[in-house]
Amino acid sequence: MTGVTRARWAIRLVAVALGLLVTRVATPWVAGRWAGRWLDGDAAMQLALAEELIAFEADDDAARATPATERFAGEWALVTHQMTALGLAQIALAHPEQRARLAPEVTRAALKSWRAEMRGFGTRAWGGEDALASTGSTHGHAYFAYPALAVGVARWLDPAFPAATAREHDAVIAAYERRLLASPTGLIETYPGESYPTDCAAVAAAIAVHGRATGADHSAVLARWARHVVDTQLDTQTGFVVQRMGWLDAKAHDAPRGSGTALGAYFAGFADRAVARKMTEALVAHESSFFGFAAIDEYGRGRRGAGDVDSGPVVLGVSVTATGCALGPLRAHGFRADFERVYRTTQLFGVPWRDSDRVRFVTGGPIGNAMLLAMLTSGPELAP
Amino acid sequence: MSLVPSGWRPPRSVVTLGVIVLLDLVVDALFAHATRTAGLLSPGGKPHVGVLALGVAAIVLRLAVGFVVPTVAVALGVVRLAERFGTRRR
Repeated sequence: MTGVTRARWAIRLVAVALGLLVTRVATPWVAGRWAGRWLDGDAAMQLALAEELIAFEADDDAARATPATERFAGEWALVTHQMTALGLAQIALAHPEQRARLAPEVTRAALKSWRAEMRGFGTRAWGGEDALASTGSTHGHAYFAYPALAVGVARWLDPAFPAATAREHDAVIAAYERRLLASPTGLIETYPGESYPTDCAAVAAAIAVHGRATGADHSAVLARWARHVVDTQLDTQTGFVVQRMGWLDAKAHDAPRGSGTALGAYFAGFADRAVARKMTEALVAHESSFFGFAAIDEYGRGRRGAGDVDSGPVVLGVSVTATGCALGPLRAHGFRADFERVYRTTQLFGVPWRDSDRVRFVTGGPIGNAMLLAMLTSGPELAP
Repeated sequence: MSLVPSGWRPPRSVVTLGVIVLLDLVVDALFAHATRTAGLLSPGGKPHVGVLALGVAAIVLRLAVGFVVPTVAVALGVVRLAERFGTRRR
């Protein structure tokens, strides 16, 4: 190799290194330029995404008024309406001047999540037993905590919340409290014989918010639930929540996973700040980062698995649900640098798009945008 | 007076990188329009394959624009500057 050739190669190597260096600085900066605004609770930013979900709910109402062959119903629809209600409520709590305008929107979304057609999947799993019609039963029906939490925040914020649904909500919360206190493990069933600690965190959240809305004292059941989470539901090695367990013996039926932990940490925040923080620390410990972008692992070290309905796609060991849902706890508990890194990934793959006064993440669809609204505004809902 | 000498043409590499960036903007806009009008899924949950394919293309282009384009652009710029500097010295 001549001296000239060597010099050329050296220049090329330096050039590529400089290119990578510039990319390492510029690309994360571009992708993260909105992260600070989300972290600081920028009202314009929050309301732009809120307007997208408010418009979605209005379109959904219009579609329901027509004799359509396909309806937006079932598990995804339930979560979409629930997360919309929670996100809007968090904005109203953070920006009290928005409360009068947003409270009716919170109620509208919460009432839709409460509809029988949304929980049909759970009713079928229990052989036709409806959660609302069986509050006297010992069956857990923990999935119904999702709309119960949404209705709770609507009652908390909206003085015009319908009294008939409020009475149904009281009965559901009383059933959950009784079931949790009777459970030897702090778990109640979602489906026959199966308990999901994340759903039980939603149950605890629903009970806690009912207390804030009505003034009822639920401290005993919440303290008991928190003790059980730490003692039996968190994996000692990873800190992750076990995804699925036996409700009577608390035996693991699945691995400890990031998706359940991230969503569980968000729900736990309504009921017990310390438990939620503990889960959030586990998420931070399982953050995989590359070039300033981060995502959350679905499994702890030494475990592998495919994606499922809970995690969404698992790519290179990180999952969509764990990553998206981690934004909420990271923001709420002040993990700013981690939030920024995870947010950059959301911005890169979410394809944010602005239409006049509205912003949406194009790849998210209604459920993704509703969940991101709840996560990107998480904080004001935290238990004292 | 013109900043660009007459007859100057941008190098092919610059044109290629520019086309990728332009394509990314166009595909993002098309994807946003398709999700607004048709949606990724039908209300009943059936996937719209064309919209999903557009989404995959949008993400691939975003990755290219985020990571490949700036790296290649800077590297090419540095090589070109070094060559020009070397020619002048000779």
